[in-house]
Amino acid sequence: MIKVLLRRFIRRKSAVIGLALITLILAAGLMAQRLAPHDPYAVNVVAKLKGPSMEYPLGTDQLGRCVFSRLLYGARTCLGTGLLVTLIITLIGVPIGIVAGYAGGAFDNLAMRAVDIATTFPSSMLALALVGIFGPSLHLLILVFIGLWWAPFARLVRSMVIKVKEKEFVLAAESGGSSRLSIIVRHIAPNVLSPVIVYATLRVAAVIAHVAGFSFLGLGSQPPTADWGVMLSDARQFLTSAPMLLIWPGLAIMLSVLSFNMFGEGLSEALTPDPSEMAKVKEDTPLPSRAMASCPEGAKAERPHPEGVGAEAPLAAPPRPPAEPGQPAEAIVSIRGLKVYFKSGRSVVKALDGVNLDVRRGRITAVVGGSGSGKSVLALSMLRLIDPPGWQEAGTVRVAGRDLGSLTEKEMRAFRGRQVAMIFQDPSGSMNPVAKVKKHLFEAARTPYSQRTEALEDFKVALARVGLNDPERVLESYPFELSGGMCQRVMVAMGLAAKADVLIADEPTSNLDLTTQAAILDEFFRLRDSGLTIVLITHDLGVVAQTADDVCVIHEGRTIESGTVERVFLHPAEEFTKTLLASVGASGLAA
Amino acid sequence: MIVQAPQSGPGLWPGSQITGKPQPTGKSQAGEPIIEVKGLYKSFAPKAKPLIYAVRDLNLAVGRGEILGLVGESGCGKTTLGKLMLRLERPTQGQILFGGQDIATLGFTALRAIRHRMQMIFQGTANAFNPYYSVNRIIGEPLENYARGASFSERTEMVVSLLAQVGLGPEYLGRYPSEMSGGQRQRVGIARALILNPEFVVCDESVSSVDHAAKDRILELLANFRRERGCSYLFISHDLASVAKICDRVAVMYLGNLVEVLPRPDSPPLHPYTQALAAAFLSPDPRRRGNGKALFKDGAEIGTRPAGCPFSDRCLYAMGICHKAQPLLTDRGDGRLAACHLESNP
Ligand SMILES: Nc1ncnc2c1ncn2[C@@H]1O[C@H](COP(=O)(O)OP(=O)(O)OP(=O)(O)O)[C@@H](O)[C@H]1O
Ligand code: SF4
Ligand SMILES: [Mg+2]
Repeated sequence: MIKVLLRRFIRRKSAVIGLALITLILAAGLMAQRLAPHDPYAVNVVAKLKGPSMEYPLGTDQLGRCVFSRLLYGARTCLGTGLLVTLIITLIGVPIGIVAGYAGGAFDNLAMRAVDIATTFPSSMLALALVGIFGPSLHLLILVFIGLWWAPFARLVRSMVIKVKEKEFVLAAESGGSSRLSIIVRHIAPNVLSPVIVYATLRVAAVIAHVAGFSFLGLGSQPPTADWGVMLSDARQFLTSAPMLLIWPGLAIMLSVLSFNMFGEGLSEALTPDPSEMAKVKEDTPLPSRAMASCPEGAKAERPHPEGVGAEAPLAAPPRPPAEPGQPAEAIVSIRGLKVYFKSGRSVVKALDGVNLDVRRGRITAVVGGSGSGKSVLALSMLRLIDPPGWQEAGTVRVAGRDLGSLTEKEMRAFRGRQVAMIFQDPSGSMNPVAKVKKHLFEAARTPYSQRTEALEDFKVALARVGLNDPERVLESYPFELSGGMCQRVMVAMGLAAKADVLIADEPTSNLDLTTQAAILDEFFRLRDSGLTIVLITHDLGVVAQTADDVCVIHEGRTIESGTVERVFLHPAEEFTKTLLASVGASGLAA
Repeated sequence: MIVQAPQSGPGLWPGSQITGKPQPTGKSQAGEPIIEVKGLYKSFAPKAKPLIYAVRDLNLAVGRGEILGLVGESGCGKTTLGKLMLRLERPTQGQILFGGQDIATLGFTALRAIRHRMQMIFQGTANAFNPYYSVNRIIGEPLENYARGASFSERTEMVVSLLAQVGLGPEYLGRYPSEMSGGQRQRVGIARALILNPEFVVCDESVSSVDHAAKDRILELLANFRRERGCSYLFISHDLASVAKICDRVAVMYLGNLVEVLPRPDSPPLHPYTQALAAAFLSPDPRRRGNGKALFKDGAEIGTRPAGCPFSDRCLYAMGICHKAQPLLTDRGDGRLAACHLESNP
């Protein structure tokens, strides 16, 4: 876990630079006493406004004080204030947010009322007003910031907690007899930690900038304090004679604000997993043990695809014959010799180890295989969504004639969703829990703001088509307010809203009852007949037999065989397919 | 078709009567139900008008040692019913009798005293585990709460032996949820629920999204536990094949209502909705394409629950009375209950 986060963090250059800068500035402030060549307050009128020299590395100011030493001590004041204020608002805001979010009820009402009041005051206005009454002082500023800035923090934490407490593992802890305290401390707090850290980092930058600004205006720290804002303010009078006096503290402020911001953004990116990553830890993440066992360096592995699926002559009349008799329908997705490996600890997991697949335009192609056979990884490869610790070892993926390997990330983004859309397995994991269903749909369909009202009508129809009988309520719901099966249907509606050429559906009906499944499969038929190409990933052979035109059986990362459904299911050529088909039991509920 | 007026009197459903009878399968030890709900209602939006219920006037009992299947359309309230029985949700109205005690209104602390006797295997794998917990901590957590005397190593030992029973070796102790496949996580979830030796377990879609081989192993595992420890299950699933394999009786829900209880999983369904459900089963034989028939009407009016029978807007057999009066759940003999105005199998 930690290692993965660390790796993701390190990959973000700006975050690492930010962290390095913060460390540098912090170290400078902490060791100011040792590093500073002079007392920051020692006046030397003889040497005033001097340029850099051996004695004064950055020169002297209007009173002959060492600029370098003052900068070092200034780091103490500025960073110290920033960290102190942030620490206190964290200590106030986080517990209030957690308790309000978890307990709800009267405490929540009270706390949120207080938050509302605190957030309606603009902090600068209040600070100005109080300075006007009590006179300028850094302590006053600190009090104002603490008094107001705990509130948005508490609100953020509360919303995170409300989201987390709906997750099953919190219920499981309750069901396992854990106390309220233990549920909060051990299950809820760690799972809201990342946004807390990110928010706190960004807050430090904000405090530094604000305090420096107020000191510059003469409302915060007072001369002769070694404070960057004060230095800046003093330097104004010497703008023409000694411009560097202005530059140094300005640079210091800018760098520290920037470094905290860069660090914060990097952290937030590292801590927010993207859906592709979520999908990868699903069902089909193969296990080292299994994949290891699966790689007896067999000769079969490298066997080239015997014939394009298209060359298959249909035995029985398929529901959808190739476009022109004798002419195989064009393969819109064509995968050859695909190998995708994952690093897991010290071993390498061969998730895909030689997959060949042809998906013909306007047909439903099913990919079947047991759990862990690599179905989901294959789906992700068609969108080039394999991220470290995984990589594509060999093979090509061509979609509509274009080799995905040759596209830039920007082209890829346009390609995803527009040409190939995906319905992820495990809807609860891949939907953003704080966005309403309609927002998911807007994003999937890339609806411009101006057309959102009309689009809503379309969405209602789409939701009704996938069997959600109360589209209005569903559009306004958050994912956690829907049942597992309802989320899955929303995912299907999102896939439909994307209006792509190829729709990859990863277990689209595995959480659904049979009547709903029938409705969704019907919708797939309709879409196919209107020209959409569908890749259906499933372990349910019944679904395959009844819906798919072509089928590709994969096992332990390799294509076992592929062809039309009739050919593969009625005349399986490979031993594995035969066992697979034999393992299926019939329904016990007699019709 | 003979129209039967809504019955009242002795044929009416109190769950305990049914479980009190010797079970047709003989599998259940009959006697006192381990858990029974009476007149249960749950609404998630208590202020909405008209009230929308996820569970509505539900009466159901699970006998000791019985495996009761629960099937129905997604979103019909199966998971909600399971959570209500375990008091992971608070009912809007109604009684929940667990071992004879009404737990419907107990508070957090009072519930902790009985939590170890009832557990849930959760639906969905992404959110079922704390991502920062290793397998050892996930399964060990309930032990920490209830086996306070045991030391850490003793608890680990218990976890290891249970892991072995669900078919996972000790090397999984240090794994995190993100490092396991769906089938493995499913089994960890089962181990977490079984570690305290519960008397009653709600299994919510415990075999969906695993392949056939893994499915069989899980079913066998659940059956073994019942045999060894005599626990009871509410087995929620849309996979009729699994339900048929493991369950003693099957309850069918539609829009928050119980519409049918089958005395055996292979009893022919009587209620039109159950028939539609069974008919939608897809055969793995491509020659039998179209055998998954839709035995219900499409394009029902959206967003409203019809008056009368909840299924009346989609039912192929709906009659005049169906749109006026909601049929009550009545005894159809042989332990079967159905809520339909039709007298016999259409
Ligand atoms: N926390 C919640 N807030 C609001 N509504 C909810 C909440 N949980 C469930 N519901 C609603 O209650 C109804 C029943 O949901 P439930 O999860 O019990 O369905 P289910 O039968 O288990 O479905 P599935 O087979 O899809 O899992 C649904 O309409 C759902 O939207
Ligand atoms: S509509 Fe009538 S016939 Fe159909 S299920 Fe309801 S009561 Fe029975
Ligand atoms: Mg459910």
